[in-house]
Amino acid sequence: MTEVIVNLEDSRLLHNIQVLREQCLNEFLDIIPETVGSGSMALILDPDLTGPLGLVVEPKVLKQCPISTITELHDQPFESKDNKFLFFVYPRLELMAIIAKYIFSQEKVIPNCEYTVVFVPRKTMMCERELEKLGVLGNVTLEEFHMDLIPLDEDVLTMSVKGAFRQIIDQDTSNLIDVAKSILKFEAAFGQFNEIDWIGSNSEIVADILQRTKNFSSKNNDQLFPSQVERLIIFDRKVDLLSPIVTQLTYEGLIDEIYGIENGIVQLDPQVLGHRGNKKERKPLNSNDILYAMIRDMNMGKVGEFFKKTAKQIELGYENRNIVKNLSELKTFVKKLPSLQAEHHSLDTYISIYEDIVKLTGGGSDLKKRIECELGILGDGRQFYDYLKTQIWKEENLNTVLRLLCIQSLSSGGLKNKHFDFFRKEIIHTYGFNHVNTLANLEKLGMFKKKEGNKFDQIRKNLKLFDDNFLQTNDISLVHSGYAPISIRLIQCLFEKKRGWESIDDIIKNQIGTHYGKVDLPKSKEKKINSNINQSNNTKKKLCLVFFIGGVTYAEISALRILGQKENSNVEFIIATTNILNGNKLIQSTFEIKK
Amino acid sequence: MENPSVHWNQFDRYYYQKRLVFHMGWNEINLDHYLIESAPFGGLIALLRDDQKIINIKNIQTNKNCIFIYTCSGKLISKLDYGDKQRVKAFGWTLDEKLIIVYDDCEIVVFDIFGEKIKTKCITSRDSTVHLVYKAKVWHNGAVILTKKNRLFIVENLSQPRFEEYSVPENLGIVSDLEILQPKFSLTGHTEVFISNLAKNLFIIDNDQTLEIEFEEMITNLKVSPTGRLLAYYTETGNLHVISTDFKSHFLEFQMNSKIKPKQIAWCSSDTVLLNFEKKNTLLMVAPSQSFLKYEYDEPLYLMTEEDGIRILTNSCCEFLSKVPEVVVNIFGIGSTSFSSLLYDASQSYEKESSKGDEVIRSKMDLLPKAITDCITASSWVFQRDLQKKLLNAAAIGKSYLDNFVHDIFADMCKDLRVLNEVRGWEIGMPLTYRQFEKIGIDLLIERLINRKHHYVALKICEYLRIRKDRVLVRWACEKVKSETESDEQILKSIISKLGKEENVSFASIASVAYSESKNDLAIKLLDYEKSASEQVPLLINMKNPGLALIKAIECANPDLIYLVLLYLLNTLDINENSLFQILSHKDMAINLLIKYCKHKNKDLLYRLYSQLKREPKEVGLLKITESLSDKINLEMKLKIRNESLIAFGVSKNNFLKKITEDNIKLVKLQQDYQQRLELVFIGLSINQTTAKLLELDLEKEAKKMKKTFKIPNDRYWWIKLRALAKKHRWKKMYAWAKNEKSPIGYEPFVEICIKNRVGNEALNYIPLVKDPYNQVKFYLRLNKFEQAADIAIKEKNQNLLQHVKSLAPKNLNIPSHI
Repeated sequence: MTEVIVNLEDSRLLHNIQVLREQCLNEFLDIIPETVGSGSMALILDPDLTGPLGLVVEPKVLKQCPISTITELHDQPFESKDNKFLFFVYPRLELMAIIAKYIFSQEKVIPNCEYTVVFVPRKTMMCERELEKLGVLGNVTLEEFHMDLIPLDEDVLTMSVKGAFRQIIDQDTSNLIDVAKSILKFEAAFGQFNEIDWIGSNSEIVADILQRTKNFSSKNNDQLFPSQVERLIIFDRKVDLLSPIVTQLTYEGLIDEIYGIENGIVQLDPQVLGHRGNKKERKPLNSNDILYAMIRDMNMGKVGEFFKKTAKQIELGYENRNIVKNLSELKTFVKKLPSLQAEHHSLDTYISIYEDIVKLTGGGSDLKKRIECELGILGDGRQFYDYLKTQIWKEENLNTVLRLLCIQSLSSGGLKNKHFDFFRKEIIHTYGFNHVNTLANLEKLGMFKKKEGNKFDQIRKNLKLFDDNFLQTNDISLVHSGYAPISIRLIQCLFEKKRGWESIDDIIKNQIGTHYGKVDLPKSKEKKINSNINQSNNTKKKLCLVFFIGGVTYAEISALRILGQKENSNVEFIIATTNILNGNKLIQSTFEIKK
Repeated sequence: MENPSVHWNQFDRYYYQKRLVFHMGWNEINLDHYLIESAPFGGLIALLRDDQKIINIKNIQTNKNCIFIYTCSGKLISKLDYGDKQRVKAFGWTLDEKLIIVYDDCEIVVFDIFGEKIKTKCITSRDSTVHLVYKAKVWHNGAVILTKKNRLFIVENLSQPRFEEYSVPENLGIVSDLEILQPKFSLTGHTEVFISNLAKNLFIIDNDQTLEIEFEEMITNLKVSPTGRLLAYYTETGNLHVISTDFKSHFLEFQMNSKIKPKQIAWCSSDTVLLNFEKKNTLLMVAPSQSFLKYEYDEPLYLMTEEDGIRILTNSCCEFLSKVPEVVVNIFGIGSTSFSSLLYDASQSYEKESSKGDEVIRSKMDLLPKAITDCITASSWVFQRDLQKKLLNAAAIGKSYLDNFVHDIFADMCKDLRVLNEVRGWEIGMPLTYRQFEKIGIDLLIERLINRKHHYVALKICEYLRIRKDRVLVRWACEKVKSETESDEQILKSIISKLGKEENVSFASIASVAYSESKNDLAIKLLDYEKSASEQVPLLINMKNPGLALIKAIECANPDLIYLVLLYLLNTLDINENSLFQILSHKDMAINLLIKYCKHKNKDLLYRLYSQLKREPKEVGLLKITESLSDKINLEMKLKIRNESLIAFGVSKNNFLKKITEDNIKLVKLQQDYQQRLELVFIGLSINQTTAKLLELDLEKEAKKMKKTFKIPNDRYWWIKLRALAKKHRWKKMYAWAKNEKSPIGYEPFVEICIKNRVGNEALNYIPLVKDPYNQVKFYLRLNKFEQAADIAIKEKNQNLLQHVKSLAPKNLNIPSHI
């Protein structure tokens, strides 16, 4: 469980965003009985749920609950002295058998225990039937815990669904109704959207559900207060599968690429931070730390400069005239200032991480070479087949090999037959026969395929996907050192083109190959009044919620922040997503799990 | 007009009035021949012929097994046929006027007033013995049954009935009366049962204990007061007692010295007891102060205790006896000097266009607001409309003298009285007092009207009071659907014209009625108007229309609903899958969900589904490969399934996949062979790993065979061998290999792997073989061989490179600074 969850009390963009978390927390506390009576209670968690739950329930809150045991649900029977059991699970069929196994084995130890199965976010009929078939439905009480959108930061909400991208691969639409419901819940808290755009087929399904709901409650949506968030964009990950596999080159993005960020927390080897020991250190990464909020969206190339500047400011502030020449001096310098220890400690931490990243991305490193290849492919349309071949022969990590191979394929409309078969054979011979399916999944997604005409060059040109001058222009392309994510470019078009996506209809329909639309919203009188109020109040930027179905990367989040912070922009973004994605997680979810 | 006070009786310290409410509309009903139960709050009356009375009735055969249901005005609502198999042991009413019947075999049934069974509950025992009812008692939300074998069962919530058994004392004996204290009144929150017996005992039984009290004489009647606070009981020698239900206080002992047992004990205004002596047709009213009042009748009586008075039913009329409230006494009491009385009189003189009233009102303006509210309150008590009008008129006149009087109480009272006067009419026949109306609430009143099929009145009341009317409309529509005279189109048209624009109307519930009336087409048409898919889908399934159900489920993208249809299809169409596939065609969302389900539960169906959907055979092949990778099946099975996938790939002319799978099958066979020969694990390794393992074991010949069989490119083979040798630290062998054959992958990998394995000296062997001088320098520097690095730089005539080497080298080394 998390030690620290993000404090949202002074949320800059969306006042009251903590309501979403408080609602969840209260619901959680309602489910947990206040007293247990005779005996004791165990809390058994779906392993996938531990992290997300930590975003809502702090350990100190959990400690006040009358729970004697907390464990994760695993496929092995157990013996417990407790007599009341609370299972918190996602409604996955395979978990029901495990729960049944728990119950049968526990009943042999202590008969007639109380069992409650709490489904997150909703129970499904299939799970209920499964429990019935397994013969335990009579033993259990079923409850629901509607934890859907949880704040990860003041501008990021996540449903934290681990398998969200896998569902895109399987064309499994079963959680789209949860997405729609979470949007409606958001509306209930922050007011109705005045405009809803969607792109991609999964978004269309969600938009249809919203449309139906709106049609049926048309008379009830006169609101008394103006909406805090005016607009909603629903984005289907399938529209842009390239951006998530391009290496993220913001400070936060690189931390995610190298160490992995889970539920807003990075776990670091103590050596990275210059500490001793071998226990990983957990570091929450969010906007509560002003310093972090300033650097996380920066291109890695600018971070060093920023540190030096900051150090100088600190130095001037303390009338220390010594000029700090390099980072290690800065570090020793910072350590000398005990009065502002906390702040400096975090600066120290960020510099340590920065140094480690610089080391790992330095000249001659694999990562550096990989980034060069990516930029070569995306910027100049170059090919790196020889490099890729050698990587496979060297039996380098399959994840990284596939990422680069997919970038190569996506940006050139596929591989020539000869190359396609060659790489498939090399990969299967090297990494094993089970990857036949991995490759088939990537082919199904269109990420790795046979050549069929290349439209990427047009897209690159039309959407200005590449910008060499990103450091000067402060363009969103800085998040990948020159490559601007298609996803965010499309969102940018919606605001900057006169007729929004209609202005780039041909690009979306024929080059990217997807479709888009709007939800038809009934206009009410109140809304007109609201918009009048807003017009007179022009200084404040409007807010827009972007919902990513299938995941969003930290780099994309940064790009949206950059977009919102531009001087000429009149909109800022709140990001909602089914999950936080990166290239490795995406590739990983194309692997078939053995059952 | 005469003063209302002429009808008052002074009794104890109060005035009472017995008001005639209705002349009964029924003919030839003699209450003496019936067992009677009436619903509280002016509710319906149920009459069951008392078979212990010998009488001569003309229609005795046709009306056998019937309970007659009448309004308080004696209008027949229905004859409820309770069946001829069981005998009725007790009956009573719910608050919304459903009839509860307890049969002699312990079955409890709740009927609507037209005889439809709504709920049935029976005591089921494991040994399937039938319990027979000895005594039973029903209240508005529950029942108590004492069986002949002295077992006591309680049902507390009739909407979700559940039997609870209380333990019964062994010395219970022959019971003289049984009474209950409803759970809402008891201290424990459970039903308490009072039982008196011939052995002069009174037992108080609840869920976990029994209290036994011995009396000096036998108790014949027990009756709890409407507030549940007091208990009245009558003894064999004719003594009436009132005690508290917690048995701590004794309030009254009244000696009648009559051994005649009263037919009924009832309560009026929670402190006054009424005794109904059947044989004398006398009603005796006893106050806490022991004063009493006698009403003589010349016909049998039935008493119904209400919240604020008592309803008296005779063969000819319905009366209501209650205390006259103080506000009314103040206005109409003889010689009353209260200001409300003056205000009332003043308003009367206004009518006569006299100015006297004005002076009176202006004389005590400070008392006016209270006088106005008193007039309004008084109007709520009286039944006659003209008197209501006069009182409200007085309030209105008073009101006109004040600027800040809150108009709402006046307006609300006018509205409420209008509603009350409507239901108090003979047609509806519900003599609700205002206090009862407040208690029962408008919702329950509307529910009663709907139950009695007074839809129009209910609707008008809803509109008049501006409350939700969808419930009324839906119930009306449900009745409408049953119409046998109109065509489906007419019914639909008239329903849509009334309900089409309403919100929150459940068309599914109307459709469901249509379906149960076997009007399927109408049901489907009605369902089209239903907004909630979760209502539509289950009904459509019930109606055996899974195709439409699936379309509706997909429309709202609700996986639960889609699965509901799919499971229905799988469970009912297992013989003829074609219809399943037909229904599924072009419904991708449902197909994908079915595939997901099949992957877990039904692989065979999955393959049939694929072939039916004309999916590419390639996909079937891939699916088989996934299946073959499962840890749960043995190797033989795996190979069998992979061979099947080969066929699929062959059909789809997918040469690559065919080849790669063939290779895999070949590999597994080879691995099996090695595994046997070498007694080492091979199965599960990739081609590279297998080759590497062979090389590590020095089985070069076998490795070469692998290379040939699987067409491993030479470069890759070199990489595999290089790693295998390094892993086993075969440095000499590696060097010999490098010297004897020309490396297709250059010599950098050799250097790298030596450095990685910390055998720097070995690395030095390969640096001269590296082609690129820059790389040579780089390697030398990494191994701290600065002189060699410098030599290369000099040989290459590269001054910068030399400079670089020198800058890194220790000072004591003699590195030249120029070429």
